[in-house]
Amino acid sequence: MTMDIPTIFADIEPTPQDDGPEPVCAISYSPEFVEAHDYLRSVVKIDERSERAFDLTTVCLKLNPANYTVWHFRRRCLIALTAASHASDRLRDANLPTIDLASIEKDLDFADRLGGTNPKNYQLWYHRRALLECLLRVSDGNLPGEESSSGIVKIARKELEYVDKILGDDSKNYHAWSHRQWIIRTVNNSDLWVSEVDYSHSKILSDPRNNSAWNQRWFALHEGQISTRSNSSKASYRGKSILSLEKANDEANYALCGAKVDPFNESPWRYLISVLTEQWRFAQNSGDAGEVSIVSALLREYVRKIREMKQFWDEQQSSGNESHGPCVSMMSALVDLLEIFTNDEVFMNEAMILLDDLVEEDPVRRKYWKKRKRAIRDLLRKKKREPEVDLYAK
Amino acid sequence: MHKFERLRHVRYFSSSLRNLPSAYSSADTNRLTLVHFCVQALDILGVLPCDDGDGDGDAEAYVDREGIIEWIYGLQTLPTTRPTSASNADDGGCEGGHDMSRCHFVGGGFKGGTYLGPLSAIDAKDTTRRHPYDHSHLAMTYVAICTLAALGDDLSRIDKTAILDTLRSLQKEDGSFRAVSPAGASKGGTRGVWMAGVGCDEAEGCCGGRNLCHWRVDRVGTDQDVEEMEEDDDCDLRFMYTAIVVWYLLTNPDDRNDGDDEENGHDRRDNEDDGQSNNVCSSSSDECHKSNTPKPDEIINIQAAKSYILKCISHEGSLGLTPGREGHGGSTFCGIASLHLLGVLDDLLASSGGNESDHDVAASRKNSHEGESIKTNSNFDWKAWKKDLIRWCVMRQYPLPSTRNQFENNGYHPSTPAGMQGRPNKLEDTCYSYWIGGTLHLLSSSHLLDGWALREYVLKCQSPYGGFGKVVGAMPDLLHSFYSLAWLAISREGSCCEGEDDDEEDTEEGCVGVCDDENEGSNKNQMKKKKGDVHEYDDVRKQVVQSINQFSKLDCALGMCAKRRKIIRKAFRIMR
Repeated sequence: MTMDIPTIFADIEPTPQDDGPEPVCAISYSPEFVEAHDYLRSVVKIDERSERAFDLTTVCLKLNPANYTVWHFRRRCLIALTAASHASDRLRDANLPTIDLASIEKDLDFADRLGGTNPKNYQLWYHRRALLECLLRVSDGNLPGEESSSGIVKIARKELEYVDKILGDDSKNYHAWSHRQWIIRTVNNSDLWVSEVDYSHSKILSDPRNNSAWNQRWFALHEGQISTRSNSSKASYRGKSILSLEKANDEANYALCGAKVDPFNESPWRYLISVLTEQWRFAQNSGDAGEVSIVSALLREYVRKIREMKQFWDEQQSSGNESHGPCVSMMSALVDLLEIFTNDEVFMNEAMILLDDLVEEDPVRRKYWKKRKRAIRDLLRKKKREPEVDLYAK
Repeated sequence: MHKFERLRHVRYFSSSLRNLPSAYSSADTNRLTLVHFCVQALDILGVLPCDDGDGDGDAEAYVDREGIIEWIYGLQTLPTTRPTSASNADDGGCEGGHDMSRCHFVGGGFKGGTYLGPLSAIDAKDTTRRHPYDHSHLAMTYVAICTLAALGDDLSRIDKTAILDTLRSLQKEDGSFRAVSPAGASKGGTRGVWMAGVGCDEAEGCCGGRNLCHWRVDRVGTDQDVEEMEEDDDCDLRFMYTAIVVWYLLTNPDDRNDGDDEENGHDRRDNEDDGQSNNVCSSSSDECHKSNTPKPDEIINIQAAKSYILKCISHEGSLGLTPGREGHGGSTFCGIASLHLLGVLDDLLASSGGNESDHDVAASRKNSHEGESIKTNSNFDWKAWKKDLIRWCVMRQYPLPSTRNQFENNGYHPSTPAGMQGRPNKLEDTCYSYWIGGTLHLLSSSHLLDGWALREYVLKCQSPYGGFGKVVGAMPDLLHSFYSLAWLAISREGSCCEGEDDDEEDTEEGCVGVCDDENEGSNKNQMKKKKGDVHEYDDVRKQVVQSINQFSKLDCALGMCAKRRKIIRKAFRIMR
């Protein structure tokens, strides 16, 4: 259904875009685009926040969904129309601008139909957030910041379902995953934090190579403070809370299982190493010898596990049962762990051999692997010159 | 081996400067960014003449510099003032310009296009009504300054005070930056107007005219506006980056702690020609717009900005757009470039000596503080982060040995094109050669990439129409075209396309490896580069090197050519 703009706006003089005598990067707009925007310019200039102005923004946004000023003006229209209809007297007292429920629902639907999967469109996702903020405020009469009621959680779940639909078409959509984070943080309900861990698991299951899902898992556990302990160490960049040792063990195990599904997949290996190094750095900075000892044992356990995996892998290769090709992610993860134990010469030498292999097996990064090897070699040479008492030797 | 099609690119960018197809309608609000891509690209290609007079430009491309400059200035907003707590809107409002402690400017800077129609910035005499949706956008301010400089403009018409003030107003408590600053009238605000000053041609109008020396309050705003919804989203690392670049370009290098010797060296030479001091006004005192250039750390909260950037570090070591988000090539560059311009990245590089692990550090501390709890010296573990970050960046290059039988029947060959992905397990994309190649360049680690392979990939993405596509065979677009060229400019400067690292044991290792038939069945990769290939690489390299200007680290961080920085520095030193 097209809008007969000139008729509806017969009382308004359209304003052509004025690029001056020498337009630069002049876009060849379509005639519909020009007409709609010529009228929009006039309407926006007099700031007419009316039904017809609102409808005009619909036309313009269909032509260009990335115009943030039009979205902004559209929201102002919605607020003005709501205020005019006295939809929410209660909130007028609270002096907060609002949009009535029906309009919110309609506009969420509009944003969806406009192409919620457009990966480059920040404005669409922001519009949803702006609407949701109103919705969260209006629902159950709760103002922002108060304890969320079941109504608010329901709204959150509904929106999360919407995002899930989008992720169904484009599982790695950056905006979509960010939107989930916003919802969960804003509502801040402990059930939602936990269910996000489950959600990330379901996405990992359906595609273990979905790095966004692995990131979401990290996010949900850490920011949701699910089995975390506080990290008073300022030296770590990984934020205020870190996983408890027990949880770290679970997550490391989870990650290794993920790696076994597809050892070429970088995501689970990185997750594994991040979980382990987070514990290690925490322990180091705590200065607690007991802590260091326990974490050290955890890391050594995973060194063993990855070695076993690699051994099996190599055997499979040489027996000719399956030709895998080199597994750089596995080797790289093993090197990262081995390298932590700078006082363990066996580990250090093993790391250097692996790095030699990596130079061969991953030639695009040969300069990088060589540098890593040199670093270890230099460290070992330095140690030979200045032997230290190893307080943490096992 | 792919030839660098310089002439095609020159034509592509110069024709884009004039006309763009309707597909660019979705970029309507940021046309200025498109102009920036074209102009900077032509600068990299050596088409724009330099101010030091080395040639009159390129005959192949006519660039209407004056016309473009005028168009850009037409996008500069007329800022408005907001009272600070120190002032009272009832007593006549701000005196604008004269007493910075009482008022501040908002809405200073540039907007991205002419889509709002003629505004008061263009129609300087209409001071009775401001456009309610007029605003400036930080990203547009950034590209405006860079592009004007590239075009050889002396920047005298840029309202530096309004921009810096606006910048200050855009920073949030958490250190991040909003991008949009409203310049329309609003409750409690005032409307101001540029008044012609000495030497101004009143007939032509001021404001965007030549002398920005008088700012007077017209009247106090009394708009009965509906209380606005705070539009406060998307304060992510993209806008952090644009904020820091604007801050960097408009503040006095001598006051900054950026540790860029190259920059400071130039400044001292530039100073010789300055007859004018910053603080002296040529007109009488009450007409005079005194300079109150605040110190760099008074304009923005540097600590908060840094701390926000660091909060964006993901578990992988790269940076997400906002805290908690997945690490991504674009946001990683924005964060690292910002840290570079803030002068903080040096800490990172300074800790590169040795490979002392945390293990040793803790051990040595325990030795010296027996029985005491160990405190860390620094607030941030730069070393650990740097390692993670470099690893993440380097792992983004294709081919990823992520499929079985990846190299069966294909030996690795150094000329195998190898592009960059933006995140793990995603596809190659030419713009990431800049985002990630640039990040490594800023970390002095671009030599760790396979520069040849990356260059081959980027060149392979050249379009027969000129420009570069996102992937091989894709149609070109301005964004990917610019960033591909920018990467080539980095690769020219950086050592990423050098041969193997100097290593006393590795002179030949990795350079010339011959297929060893005795290793059949092991599925090992074999390097088949032969001696003859070396000469071909040199030719290609020379061709690219000769065709484009290079990007130093600072250029990489700013996204523009070296020589233009001198213009900006000089201009803003003189500017009141």
